[in-house]
Amino acid sequence: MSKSTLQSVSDIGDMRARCEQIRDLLTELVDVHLEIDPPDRIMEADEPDWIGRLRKICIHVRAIGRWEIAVDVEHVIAPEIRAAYMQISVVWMCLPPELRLEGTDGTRWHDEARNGLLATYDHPTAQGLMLPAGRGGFSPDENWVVYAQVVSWLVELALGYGYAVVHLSQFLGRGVDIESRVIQVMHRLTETITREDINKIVDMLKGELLDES
Amino acid sequence: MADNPRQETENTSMNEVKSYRTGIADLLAIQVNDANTIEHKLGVVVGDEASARAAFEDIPFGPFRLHCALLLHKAIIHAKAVCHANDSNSLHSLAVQMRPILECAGQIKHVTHNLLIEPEHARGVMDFLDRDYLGTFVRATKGQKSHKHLLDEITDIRSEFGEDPPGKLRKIKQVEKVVVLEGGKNWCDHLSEGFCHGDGDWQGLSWQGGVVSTNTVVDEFTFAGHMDYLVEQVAIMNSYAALQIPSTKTLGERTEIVLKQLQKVRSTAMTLRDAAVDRLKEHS
Repeated sequence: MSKSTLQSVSDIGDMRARCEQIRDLLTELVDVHLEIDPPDRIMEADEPDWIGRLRKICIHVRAIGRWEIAVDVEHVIAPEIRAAYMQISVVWMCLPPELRLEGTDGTRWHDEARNGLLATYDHPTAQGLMLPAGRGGFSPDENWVVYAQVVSWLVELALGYGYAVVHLSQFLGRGVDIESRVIQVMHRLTETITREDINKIVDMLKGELLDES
Repeated sequence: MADNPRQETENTSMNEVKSYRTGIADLLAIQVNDANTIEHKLGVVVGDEASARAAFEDIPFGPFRLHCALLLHKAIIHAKAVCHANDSNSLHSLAVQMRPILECAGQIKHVTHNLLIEPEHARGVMDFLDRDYLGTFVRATKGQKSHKHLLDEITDIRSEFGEDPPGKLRKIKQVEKVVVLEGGKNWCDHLSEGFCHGDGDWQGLSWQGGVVSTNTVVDEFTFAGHMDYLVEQVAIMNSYAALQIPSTKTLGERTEIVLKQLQKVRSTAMTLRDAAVDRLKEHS
């Protein structure tokens, strides 16, 4: 068990700090991405579609990196994450099988974007805005619920984006140094939050959902 | 410069379009400020349970004011993000933040218009709100509360107020929220296809969701054009929301005031737009 692993619900007091750490790691991925594929590099007409899509993801991740993790941040980052997820769901399937997590296809991002909570934040209605903050609305909610939700979104984003940047580096032949930098960022992501943490967060969020209903 | 007239022309065009973009961004910031003021004047505090309860129990038209305040609050958050995206030169970010604002503006216009301006359609508003309730809770409970169960709840509430059962209710489609805005459907389709859903051609122009063009006159126009449409819709949203502020004035008097303000925003935007277009025509 890593030292970062959450012990209990009470440990989730540092959830905001984890949001900030993951946001900063995403910004580091953007920096490496921009070194691999600078915006002023003229893309050839016959370049694979996924490289253009990856540029779109980069734009949204950069936008997320500019936000302070504070009250209502979930509202402003949700449309950015959602747009990025739509691209990741396509880009992921263009990665070589050895880079994709076992048993993972693009549907995990597509489904969350289309049918998950992100859609609630992105398509407001008055009734939806009366829901608790962690469910797309403005009603009071425990802070950990909101930040836990943001953590789970950002981790998924970093996962899809990070592996895609590794593939981009390989595809454009940028060398092992730059590739290892991406891998280091991904490694630090797993130190910040483990798979076990994420499963715990998802379970707790599901519990909240059932309590609410 | 005189040695290179073409370069001079391009610089002049760029400056004109930049002024248009700056002017429209300033106008948007003013509208966001106005929206904030209106939200506070509605007398319902978003996120405060006691205030929400009072809106339902004690305040005339309270539920509609709460409806308006919630949507206004949401629109303000995203409109500030649009300003932020403009400052950061991120059109993709601006576009994805713009769509929820249009949905808020459309719903405020739809409900307020049918409630106050054409009250003969108020029944349609009730159906709209019930459909929102239905769609939201089927989704939020992941189907644990069924469509039928929620429909029964609505029927019970209506019968308490001596009203007929609702009949067949379906969840609100996204397009229904924006169809009352002039050009709303086209703009939402454009934002969805080019930016939000991301099927736009990455090789296309920036306004089509492309990612290959930077710092051209067309890019500047694209920023300005998007915010220009948005300013108009935020001003309309503010006008309708302002009609819900408690006042001793008649509806006619209030309508006259908000229409004057709306006209002022429109004429400022038009002046900025025309100046940019005229200079471009001169130099083309």
